[in-house]
Amino acid sequence: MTTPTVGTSWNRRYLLGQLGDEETERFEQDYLRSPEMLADLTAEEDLLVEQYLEGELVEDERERFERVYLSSPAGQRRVDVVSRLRVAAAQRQRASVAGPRPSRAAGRSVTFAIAASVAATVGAFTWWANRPHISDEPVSVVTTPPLEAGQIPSPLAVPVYAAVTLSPIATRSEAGPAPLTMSANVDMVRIELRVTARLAEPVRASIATVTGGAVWEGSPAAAQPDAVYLELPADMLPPDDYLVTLIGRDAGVEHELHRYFLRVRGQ
Amino acid sequence: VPVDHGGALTFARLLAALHPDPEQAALAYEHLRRALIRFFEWRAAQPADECADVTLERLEQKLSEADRIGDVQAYAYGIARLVSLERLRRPVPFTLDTARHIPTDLREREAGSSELEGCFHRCLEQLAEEARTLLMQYYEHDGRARIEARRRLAAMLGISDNALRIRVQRLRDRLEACVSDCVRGGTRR
Repeated sequence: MTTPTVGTSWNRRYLLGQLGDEETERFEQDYLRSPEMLADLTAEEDLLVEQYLEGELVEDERERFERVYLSSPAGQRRVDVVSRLRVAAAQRQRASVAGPRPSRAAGRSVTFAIAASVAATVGAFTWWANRPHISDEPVSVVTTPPLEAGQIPSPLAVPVYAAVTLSPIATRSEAGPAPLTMSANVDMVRIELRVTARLAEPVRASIATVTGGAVWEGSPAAAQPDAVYLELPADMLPPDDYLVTLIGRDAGVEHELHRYFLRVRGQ
Repeated sequence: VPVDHGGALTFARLLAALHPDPEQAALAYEHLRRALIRFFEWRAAQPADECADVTLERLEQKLSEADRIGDVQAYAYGIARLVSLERLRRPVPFTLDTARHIPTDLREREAGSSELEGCFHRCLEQLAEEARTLLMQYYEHDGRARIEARRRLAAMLGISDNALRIRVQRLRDRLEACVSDCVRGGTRR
């Protein structure tokens, strides 16, 4: 091997495009010769992908990961497949431990208790479209109340909302974001984006999967000094990991205000 | 001049140039191809496996023309760089697969997403039950719990943590290839 010391940092720097031209050339020649080096490099790649999906990368690494690693179609596919595997594994795990139906509500309460302890406060609750205020406290109610015996269902049934409050990625706690668990009866999702630095007027937001697939783009449904609210149909957010970008306009120029990580899980 | 049936002779020359022992040569070839695929993936040259095969074909060709090549891997690297530059200079066709990521309306967006989802699940189902279970067990934990769970899984299978990771990586490579083929197939329909 011509590279003197090849450790994790070299592997990571290569994958994030941080090596110089000569270093890159030497590094590539080396892993073409050495199965051990290639194995270390692919192990680092796996770790990087998982850390990205779990929101564990520091700002600079995340930015480089998106700009360098995700510029490759193979990189996008890998992140997509790992993301789907994680969702499928979580669903399988839930199915294998699921007890009788009533226990799911209790499980959800536990989830919300945990969620309340992290900076990215996530809640799912019944939300009526014209509700004037969103509580920061997660509430463990998802469905509309069951009908009493003999009660006639109202033809004007209100849509069931799931709501989630997200903090900007840079201010997320080390615990990482809690997922938004979506039940089948949810019609709409309302996303509250916390705004920590109001440097420009928020004008629009976009949602994309972490692999770059555009999902939604539009104007906020409402805005307050420290928060912006988005509303979209629940079926546009199947279980996956998403990046939400809030765009602001200042002196006629649009720029990114904040970025948020949103994880959606099915029930 | 010996007749090279289906390129067998040039391939044999490449193997011999990689290692004098046939078994070691086969392993070296397997590694070289895998490393080339990753090289092209990380350089965003696609399709990476096709680029790797073009590189190996040119290397075989060169070996059949030259008396002797001192450093086969260094030569392979030189060819790979050229192939990668050729691919990057070539205009990238705007495929329907790419277009799926730039949806113009809600129906298109939903179709693209559900097709990918469908491909993923079809490909997962195509794996043997044992392989599928292993993948699920490998990916079922987050954060710190993940490390411990994988350690337990490796111990249960009687293999090292690294061997487990490699086994999963190869299964995932197959899954990724299947999903890519499936999506391309869907596009052709």
